[in-house]
Amino acid sequence: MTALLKLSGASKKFGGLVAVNDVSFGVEKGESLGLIGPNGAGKTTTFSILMGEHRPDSGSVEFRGRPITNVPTHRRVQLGIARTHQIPKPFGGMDVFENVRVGSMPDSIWRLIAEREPEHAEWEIMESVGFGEREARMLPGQLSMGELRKLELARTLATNPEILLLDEVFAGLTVGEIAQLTQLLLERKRQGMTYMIVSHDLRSLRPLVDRVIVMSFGSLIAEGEFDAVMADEAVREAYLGHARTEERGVVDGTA
Amino acid sequence: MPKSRFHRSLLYWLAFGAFMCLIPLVASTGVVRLLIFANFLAIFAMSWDIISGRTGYISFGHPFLIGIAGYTTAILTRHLDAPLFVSIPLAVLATLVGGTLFFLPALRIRGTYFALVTLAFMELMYQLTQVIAPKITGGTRGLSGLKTIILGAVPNYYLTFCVMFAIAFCLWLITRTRIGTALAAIRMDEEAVTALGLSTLKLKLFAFGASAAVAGIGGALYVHYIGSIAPRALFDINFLFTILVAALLGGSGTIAGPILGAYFLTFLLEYLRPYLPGAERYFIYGAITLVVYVLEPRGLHSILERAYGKLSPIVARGLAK
Repeated sequence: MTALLKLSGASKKFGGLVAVNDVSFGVEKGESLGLIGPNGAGKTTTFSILMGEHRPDSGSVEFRGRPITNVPTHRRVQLGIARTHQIPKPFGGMDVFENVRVGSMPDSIWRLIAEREPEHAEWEIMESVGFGEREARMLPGQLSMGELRKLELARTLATNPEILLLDEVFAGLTVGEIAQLTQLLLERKRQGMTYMIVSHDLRSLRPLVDRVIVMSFGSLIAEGEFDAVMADEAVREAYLGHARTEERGVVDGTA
Repeated sequence: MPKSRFHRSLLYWLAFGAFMCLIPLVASTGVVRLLIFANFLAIFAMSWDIISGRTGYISFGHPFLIGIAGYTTAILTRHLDAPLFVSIPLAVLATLVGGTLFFLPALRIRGTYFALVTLAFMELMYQLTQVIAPKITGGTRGLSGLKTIILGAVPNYYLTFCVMFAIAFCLWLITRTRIGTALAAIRMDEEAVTALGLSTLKLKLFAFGASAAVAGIGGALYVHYIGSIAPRALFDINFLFTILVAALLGGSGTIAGPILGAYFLTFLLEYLRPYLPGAERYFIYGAITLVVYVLEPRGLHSILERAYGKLSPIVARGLAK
């Protein structure tokens, strides 16, 4: 089976720092893949390579079996790959609804001028992340971090992606917001959406992913089902260090 | 934009147009001549604002675009005896090509660097017009005795106002569509626009093209209004800053703002002239600009909008009584 999105032998250096080192993996259609690892492991750089924001020094990216390594970011989004950012990047001078509306705009000058698209699709997305009329008219500066994350997600969903790369999507959210977001992602998964999720919140990640891959110091160190990977010695060491691993005994999803 | 708001804005445009058409009936010729210059300044300020106010690419080289149009039509009419209906469209076309050149730095740089490169464009053209083929460009003295489109203050007023109004109205219609939002998004975060699947290259090219076309129309008409083109006046830093200040003072990122700023500045500079005949009056206009900008960075347009918001309920209550 051809992976929907595939990274092969990708490496990326920033000066002397190897951020991503010969990383390869694939995401099947309809699959949810967790990408975990300690801070500085290279997760966000991997996302940036997949999105075309960073060109890999070596290796390739394929989408639906076709090479897209040299395809610019906006074209990848049009193909069906989209991401959220660890630090939300809202358009500060626009209200929440307009922010989401930019996500659904066509990449055609003529259509942007001549067509008046109905707004119901944007409202559906807004409602699905828990935004109502009141939030729609608020400026990003008036939102909490949790609401900003929801705005980032809503805006990305508006691009109608086939595969969504979520970077620390649970950070800064309350327990209630995490539960709401989990329901939304599970619903989208049932509808066939494919995910890659980077998260430090392993407890929230566990019900969402079919499989996880673990990175440490830029390299892929483990891959498999969530519980099996969490029991892996190399993963425990990457997260807690050797001495701490012996003290704590185990790293698991409920930690 | 909800329909009622659209209709209300349309009504304001019509009222503005009707009011301005009545001015020559009551105003002196001197005021009418001032308004002609204000109309030209409004066209240039709107052109600048399409690039700088909308997308955030601050241009310090707009006289470069105006100069391309001015010199093209001046050379065509002077040396080839081309009629104005041929030379002016060709001048606008030449400015569009020049606008593409102007756009090239925006592919790689923005912010202060972009502003400096555009300033270099202006300076380069200033030097080139004097050095390269001075027989054709008129060298340091430029070209004078050029054809005029029509004669008389009032006909020229109506011509320049109609052109300015048509440009403003078209820009208003265009920017109230989704492209206005997309251009504003570029100003706020260009990378985020790319991450949402939009080609910022295409959007910026559109903005630069529109800006160049407007500058081209204004530049070509201006040359045939004053009947001459002089590099020292055209590529003067004061001229550049008058355009910038008109847009910023009036309200950058809007259509009405640059018009408001252009009218305000033209009359301010003229009424200061008897008291401060030299360049000192630029200190006064600089000070006024600073004060307005510090108090309300969104310009006179925003101040008036707020005043209208406060006054209209009071007027409505008064009328209801």
